[in-house]
Amino acid sequence: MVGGKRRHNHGLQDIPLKKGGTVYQPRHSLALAIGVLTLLVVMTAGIIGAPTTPAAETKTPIKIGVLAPLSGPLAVLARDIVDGARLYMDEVNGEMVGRKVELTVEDYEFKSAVALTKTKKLVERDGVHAVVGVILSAAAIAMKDYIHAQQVPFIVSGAAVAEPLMMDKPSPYVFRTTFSASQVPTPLAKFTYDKLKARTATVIAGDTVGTIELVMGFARAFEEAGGKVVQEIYAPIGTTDFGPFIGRLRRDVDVVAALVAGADGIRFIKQYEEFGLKGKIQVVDTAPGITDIALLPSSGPSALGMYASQPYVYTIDNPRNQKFVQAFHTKYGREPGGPAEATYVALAAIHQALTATGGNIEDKAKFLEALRHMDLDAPRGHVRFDKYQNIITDVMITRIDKVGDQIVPVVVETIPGVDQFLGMAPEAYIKRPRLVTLKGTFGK
Amino acid sequence: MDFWIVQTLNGLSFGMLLFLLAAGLSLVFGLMRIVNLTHGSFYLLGAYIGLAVIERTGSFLLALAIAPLCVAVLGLLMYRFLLRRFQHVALAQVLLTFGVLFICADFTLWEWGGYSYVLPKPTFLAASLTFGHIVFPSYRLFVIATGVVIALVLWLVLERTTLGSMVRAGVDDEEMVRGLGINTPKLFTAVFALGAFLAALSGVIGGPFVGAYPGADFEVLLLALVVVIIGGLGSMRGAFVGSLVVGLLDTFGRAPFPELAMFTIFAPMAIILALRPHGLFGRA
Repeated sequence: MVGGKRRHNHGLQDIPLKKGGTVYQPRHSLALAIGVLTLLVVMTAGIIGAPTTPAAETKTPIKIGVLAPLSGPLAVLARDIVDGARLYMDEVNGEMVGRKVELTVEDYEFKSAVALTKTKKLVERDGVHAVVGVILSAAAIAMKDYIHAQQVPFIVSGAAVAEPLMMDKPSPYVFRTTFSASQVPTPLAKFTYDKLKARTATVIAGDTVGTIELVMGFARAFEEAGGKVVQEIYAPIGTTDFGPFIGRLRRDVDVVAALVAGADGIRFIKQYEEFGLKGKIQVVDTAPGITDIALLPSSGPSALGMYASQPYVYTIDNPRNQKFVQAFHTKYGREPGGPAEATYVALAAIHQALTATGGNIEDKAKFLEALRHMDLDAPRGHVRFDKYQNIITDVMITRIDKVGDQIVPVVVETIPGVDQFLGMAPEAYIKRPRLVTLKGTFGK
Repeated sequence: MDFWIVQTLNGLSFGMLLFLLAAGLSLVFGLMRIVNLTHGSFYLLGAYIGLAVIERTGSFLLALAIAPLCVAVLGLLMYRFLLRRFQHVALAQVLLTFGVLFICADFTLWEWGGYSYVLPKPTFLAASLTFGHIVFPSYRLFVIATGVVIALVLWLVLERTTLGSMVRAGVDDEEMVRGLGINTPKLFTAVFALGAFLAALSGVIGGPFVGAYPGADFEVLLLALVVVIIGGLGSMRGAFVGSLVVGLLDTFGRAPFPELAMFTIFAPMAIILALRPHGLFGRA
């Protein structure tokens, strides 16, 4: 063995070489090249040998692309998107109106550019008939023009709450079953002023369009109610150390209105507690960020006592929701969060539109028309789309409480039938400045 | 005043974490003249293995012991069976470490998924300390203390032991050291494993506030590179000062100007490179 090794080496290793020289050892590179070649051959063989798609059925299947940030800071929420879609498929046995339905899941890594690439892949290579999912507003906005040009119905069901997505150059192909940035924080701002008696507020958010708009929605409504927003703090998405931001936070405010999502949210609320602020300054979640159901197992003890606003929470007390939560729990062993329900609703909306068109998703004009008339008994309650294809929904305000040894969001108030125009005429609301442009105008 | 004290402590704790991270990178570069790009992976593996240990045993201290050792063994094997085959072919070695970085990234994604984990803190460090108006997490003070202790130990080993003098001699003139009959391959292997050990240690220590998530390997690698470039490649003192500079700059720059989070670190790096191309303590 040792002798063999020597022979191969030709003693080259023992010759001192000049530092930084480029003397090569041909045997090694040859071995490496052969190795790489072998690997390539094996891989190619594997691809060729892989089973090809089964023979086409009489009726071609309907393909739906599910786009979720399965890796990155919001991976935990992304799981909800995929599981919500899969649960619906289970309930209909993978079939809608006699046609088989196939889900194709893609990970966009929480990056807009990747989202666009994956959308192109879904549309051009997989030939999907519709796309659901997406959490990042910037990703949905990046996809919008392409979706419109390709005429692929796209139901935003992860979050992607930015106002421009639905209000500026609205596309007939883009729908949203989550909520708009003003829709959910506005009732919370009123609640914070009226019921929590807060008069001054600091807003803190992740530094991206969707999260900025949510805290701006809160700030605008809070000032309209009579309060004062004295400070705005923005942390880049993916911030690990919130120490510097918590250090800057003013200690004399009544309330901190936050939208820090995903893993960032867990880190923020834990560090907020470590710096001794928990219980001193009330934190409210302008939409499910820190208090997202998927995060509660991690952020729970630190999030106790927080108030949050959302269109869906698993503790809603109605039979339709109990059935949904029960099914979700049986299949995945956890409670569904907002993205799970919104994606489940998106699939149900597609199903309803297919039923109306006799399973014909290829006739896009008819299908879109039917989708626009969505009228569903969703787990959260009765839902419809408005003229701009954003969902009209009840909004629930919850408090994070300890019930037994469980940490549970308890519904304390329900505001029925909120739309993205806050009850104004759509044309009038659209003339107002977009929430994102208000960034930096408070606390001056 | 309170604001400045808290932010300074924040900066110091982040700086000390960076030091643990950058020390190994600097050491390996100083001796072998290669930038070990797998260093970020060693950090991430350390954090993930630490998490696995905590989940099974509930002991943070055990994680602190086991994870760095596992990763050190990995580093040892990587050096012995991969890098040594390309001894003195610096480019091939750097490319190899780059390749292993990607392999580790995919492996950790496969094994631990795309989730972002925050390591639980040891219970005795979970509380916060209060001095007058200032509340500061005791864990961060622990990070500062650990950084100082490790820096002292490294300094003592490098300056006061035979092994240290061999390493320092190797940094100065590797050929001459070899000529003196010192087994440099063994020395290199040991230092490489030590570098991996330190990276994994910073992974476990950083776990409770930086966390472990896909992409952390590249992020910490970038920060460590900035530190060693500012401090001077191969200089332990440079790594220490560089870490503090970057830690404080990041803390004071990031909160007021989140849009400039990258700028506040890279602009000083560019300035230092322009004025002192070898970094603050580096030698030509």
